[in-house]
Amino acid sequence: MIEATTALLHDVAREVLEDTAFLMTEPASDEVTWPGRLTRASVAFRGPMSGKLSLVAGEELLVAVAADMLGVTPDDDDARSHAEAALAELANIVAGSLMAKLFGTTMIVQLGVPELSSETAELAAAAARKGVVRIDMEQRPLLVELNVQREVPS
Amino acid sequence: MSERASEARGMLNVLVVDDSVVMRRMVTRSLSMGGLPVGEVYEAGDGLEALGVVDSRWVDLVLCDINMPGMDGIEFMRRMAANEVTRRVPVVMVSTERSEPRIQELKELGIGGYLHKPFRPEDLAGLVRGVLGLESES
Repeated sequence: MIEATTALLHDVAREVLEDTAFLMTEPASDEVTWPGRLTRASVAFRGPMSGKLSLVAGEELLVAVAADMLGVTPDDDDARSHAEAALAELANIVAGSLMAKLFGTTMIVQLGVPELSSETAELAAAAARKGVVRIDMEQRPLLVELNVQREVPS
Repeated sequence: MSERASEARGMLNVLVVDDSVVMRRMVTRSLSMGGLPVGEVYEAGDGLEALGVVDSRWVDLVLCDINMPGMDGIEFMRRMAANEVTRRVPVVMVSTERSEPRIQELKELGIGGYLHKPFRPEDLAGLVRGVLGLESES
């Protein structure tokens, strides 16, 4: 079950990155460069089950994502100022796509508003946790994590 | 709504409603990339703000998210549908929402179309052309 969900997470995140930010993803490699400061965007969900989906990435990748989404170059001030907002929207889109694949479309799944936080020390632990998906883009990593908290009683 | 100055110019005045500023910019850019004649672009972060724009500006098309803090896209559509004038404004929903019961409710409220995120620019432009009855570029 965990392996199937991990594979699904990987596929959904890769599809969203390629369609939304026009970024080509690569298999995770040992040569990845871990950034010093990380940003986490989390989206809570409530449906047949409840939980939280999180994306974690460093600033350089976030600026590249924002630039692609906004149609500007990475050295544009807009890309830097909207970097965290871009990650929040990516998390929102990944969560929506994932919910449809996990639970289907016949029932209502409520998505929360993306929440942003910064972290640094958690990186190594997050990367090592089982079930966390890592996707690389030009050796810059993005972590995708799904936490299912509990089943919602019917 | 104010007078339609955009009509003579053959341009579309568009209202983009999304709590994400990045997505509002992406939606606007997709319309331009798709060759649509975009005139004035108004932005709103939720349904309530959007109703204020529709009340004060001429809008040819609304592109609206569903899940937003404050007034969401479903309540926005309820208010639009309840008004004799605003119910005629074409609304296309662009959202991560995929729940069929919600999309069905929005169809009953009169949305012109629905597109889920992620989307390709050409998909949005094509849907808008269909909703507005515009000829395709090619």
